[in-house]
Order: sequence, then C-alpha cells, then structure tokens
Amino acid sequence: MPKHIIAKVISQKELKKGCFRIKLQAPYVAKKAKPGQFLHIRCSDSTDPLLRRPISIHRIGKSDVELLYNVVGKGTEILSQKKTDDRLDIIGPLGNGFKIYKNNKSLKMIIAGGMGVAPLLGLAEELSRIIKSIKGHKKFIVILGAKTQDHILCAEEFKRLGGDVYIATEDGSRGKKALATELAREIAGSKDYRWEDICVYAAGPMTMIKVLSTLIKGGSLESQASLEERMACGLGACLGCVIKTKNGYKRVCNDGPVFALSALLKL
Amino acid sequence: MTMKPNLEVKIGKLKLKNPVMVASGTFGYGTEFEDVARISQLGAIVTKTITLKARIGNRPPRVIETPSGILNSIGLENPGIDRFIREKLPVLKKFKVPIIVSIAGESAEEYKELTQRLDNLKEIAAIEINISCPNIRRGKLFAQSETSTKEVVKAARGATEKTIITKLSPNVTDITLIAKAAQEAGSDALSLINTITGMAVDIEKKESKLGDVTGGLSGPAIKPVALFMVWKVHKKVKIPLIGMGGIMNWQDAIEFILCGSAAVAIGTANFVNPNAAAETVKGIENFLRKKKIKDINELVGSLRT
Repeated sequence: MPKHIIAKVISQKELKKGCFRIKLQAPYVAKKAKPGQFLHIRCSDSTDPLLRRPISIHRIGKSDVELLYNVVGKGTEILSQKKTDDRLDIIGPLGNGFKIYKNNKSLKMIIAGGMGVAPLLGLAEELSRIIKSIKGHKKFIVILGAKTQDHILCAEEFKRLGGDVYIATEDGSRGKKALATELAREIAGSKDYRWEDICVYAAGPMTMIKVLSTLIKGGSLESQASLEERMACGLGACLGCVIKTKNGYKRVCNDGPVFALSALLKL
Repeated sequence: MTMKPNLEVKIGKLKLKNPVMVASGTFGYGTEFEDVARISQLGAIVTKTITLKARIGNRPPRVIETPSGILNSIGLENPGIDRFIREKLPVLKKFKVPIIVSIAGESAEEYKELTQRLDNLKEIAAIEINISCPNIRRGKLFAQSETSTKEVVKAARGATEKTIITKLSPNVTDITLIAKAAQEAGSDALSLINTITGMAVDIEKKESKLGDVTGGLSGPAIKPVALFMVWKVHKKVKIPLIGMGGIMNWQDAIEFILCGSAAVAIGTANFVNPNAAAETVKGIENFLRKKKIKDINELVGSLRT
C-alpha cells in the first residue's frame, strides 16, 4: 500500500556527470518496497515543473531507500539540488515490482541498458540473498550496456553481490564493443544456454527492451522488463502512462512498471 | 469562538456538504486514490467518463507536461457502462460521498440510453454529460453547437429526474450561447471548462509529442481562461456553475467562486497533490471564518466590477 510521505534527504552524491544517487530516510517505504517499484516525487512546489516525477527504487535499506537518476529535465534538475536534511514529498512504494521465482533451475540474467541499472541493483541484492539460500546455487549474470565507459554504473556493486559481470559499450571504451542485447545473445550462446532456461530481468531504453523481447521469443515466461513512460497521477487513475502489450493497453504505473517480456513481443 | 461557516451548496436537486469536487478523468473511480487521499472529505466525486461500450483509448504517449500545464489525449478509455455498474460503482459507494457519473455518447440517443441505465441506481447522485471531450475523433463536438447541445441535453433530461450537469467546452466562439442552450434544454447545472485543445511538438523527430497528435490542456496554465468563461457565463444563466480549470489550492477556488462558481472541481492538481481537494475544503472554511462570512453562498459571483 502506497503512502504520501515527507521524507528527509540523508545524502545526495553525483556519481557521474549528471547522474545522482540520493538516499532518503523513509522507514515505511523501506519496509514495504520491493525491487522494481518506484516513488512518485514532487520535485518542486512551483507549477513548473508541475507533475511529480516517477523514479525507480534503486536500493532498499533498513529504514532508508536510495534512488539513482539522471538529470534529464527541470524536475530532476531541481531534485539534484536537494541537500542533506532537505524534505522531499514522495508517494510510494508504487507499481508491481519484479517477481523473483525461487526456482534454482533457471539461470538469472540481469540486463541493464544505461540507467536501467537503477531498479536492477536492488533486484540483484535480493537475488543474491535468495540464490545463496539455495543449495548448489548458481551465480547470476549481469550485463551492463552503455554508450561509453563513463556511463557504466554500479559494476563493482554487482560484482560484490556475486554477479558475473559483463560490460558492453557502444564505443568499445570498456568491455566489449557491442549493445547489451548482442552481448546477452553471445553469452547465452557460448554457455550453451537456451533462452527457455534463462530468467531475464531487464531495464533500459525501450528500443533495447523491444530487441530483447524478440531475441528471447518463446523464452522463459519468467523473464521480465521494467518500463518507463511519462506519468501524471502514478496511481492508475488517469490512464496517461499506458503502453501497448499483447493484452491491450496497460498502465506502466499500476499494471507495471515490470512486465513479462512475453507480453511485450512484437509490439 | 467563531461559528462554523456554512459550506453546503445546492447543485440542482443535489445538496453537497461542501463545494469542492474532483473533476472527471482525474480521480479514476475513487479507489485508485484510496490510500493517499482523504476521500470522505470531498463534496462529490465525478467519475471518469463512461460510454455505452468499452473504449480502449488513444495511442500513447498520452500525457505531456507543458509549462504549468499538461496536455492529455487519453481518448475516454473506460470499461463501458455494464462493467462500470458491476465493478466500479459498488466500490465507489463505500466512500459515502455523492457520486456524479460522467457520461459520453456518440449520439443523443446514446446519451439517453446511458442516462436511462443510471436513472434507477439510487447510489448515483447526479449525471454529468460530457459533450466536450476534445480527444475523440468525431469532428465537431456536441458542445460546439447550440443545436447539438440542446438535442443531447434534452435526450438525457427526458430519461431522468436526477440532477443533470452539462460539461462545456472552451473551444468555442461564444460559450455563453452554449450555456444558454443547455439551460433551455433542462440542464440543472453547468461544468466549465473542459480542457483547451492544444499541441506540443518534438522538433528532432518533427512529430507531435502526443500519440494522437492533439490533446487537451489543463492545469494552472488555463486558469485565467477558465475564470473568464465562468464569469461570462455566470452573467448569462441562472443555473449553478461548477467552475474548474487549473485550480491548485483554496485561493484559486475562491477566485472561481467570486467569478460565479457555486462549486468547484479540482482536476490536474490531484496528480500533484492527492489531497489538493481536501485541503481546498479546509482552506475555504478558514477563509470564510477569517472574513466573517457565514455562508459560502454569499460569496458566489460577488466579484466587484
């Protein structure tokens, strides 16, 4: 159940140029949130920017949550100026979040394009806890794709959690010169995995998600992707943030933001 | 101790405990806001518009923010009247707030049929006839012609004794003519304004930022236009007006009341602050107290000119 809360900013740090990680004191959200859910944030009291900004939960602590975001417009610009002890008007946790299947047969593969790492690090934290508790546990694979080495985020954190991290950059400045989806296909192929046996957790640009859903066509039904769309209410009321799925228009805020990749096939 | 001022207003046969409602399309069917809004404090809930058959709505993107406003092109996505009555109404009822059902049809006959379907449901307090949604491709809106407005309002009027509210479009040459037509045809009240048709363009892609090219503008950006239209219509009709268009807080609501609104509706502000309507009720009450006004109705249309 979401709540409308005033949260205190614990800290904010610019990780890379224009990319910020903010930590909020929000015990209720920390207690209730699942990886893949988001907060709807009122960045300013003015009417311009007017709407809240949906930002996915990056990490869930004991009584705090972290968000990772890029400054992309007026709202996030204002958010990036928040300092320790500032107050922030938030609604959350919202959305469905990732489903974690406690089935040790499938290989878990995280695929993050650019800022897609934001919801996926929290997921990896949860995943590593679960995988450790399963006998004969497998490592999970993490594929990070970005424009250049400067846009690669959280690689060390994923490694520390036990992820097998592969990196792809569009200009080849770090890891393989490829797209995340190309690297995913290569890794699955080299390890002799079939997509039916892999549970993909993806987040990133819509173009990446589309390529991915085609790539793993007929693959594991457990595979999921977190999507983004402009939102107004964030609560499922205004029907402003719908995307087309195999089952008709669905609200990213409320039916998502996480969707089965199989529902996004051939859109 | 000062006396609690009277906030009760009458819209047709409908008595509201306060003049603040939530506008159609901005509050879903109530339940979506249940966890974050003090719904019981509202004067009324106006539902998302219902049509005879379910509508899938327009292609995304459907919402784009513009300076102090939002452009939307939802396209009346709704489950249709059968599912509304079966699934949404029973849940809406539990908030114990008057329910005003917004309806839209493609012909006067459809408005009549929709009204008939709602007429015998006692949990429905009033019907708002939406003749002004700019996001459906039908050419001219009913609300853009006096003749069509009369036809539609008459059709609904003939099918119910319940309070009928007609929602007007600002996308007209002279809104007072349409307002008078609705009044003549038997509308008990008027809601104004619906959104103003608009566009936003992506210059890189050379295309509209909205999937369906055009949309309806709402939010603080349209408040001055809405105030003007309410003021103009108030001078020409006798039936009560429900003013809306960019109301963010109680101060905005008072502006509308001074210009002639008997009640107000909060729309876009619900997206920003889910308790905007509840806070507006409180703010109006405090204002009346401070100004020693005993009854909200004294304020309606009392703008000095």
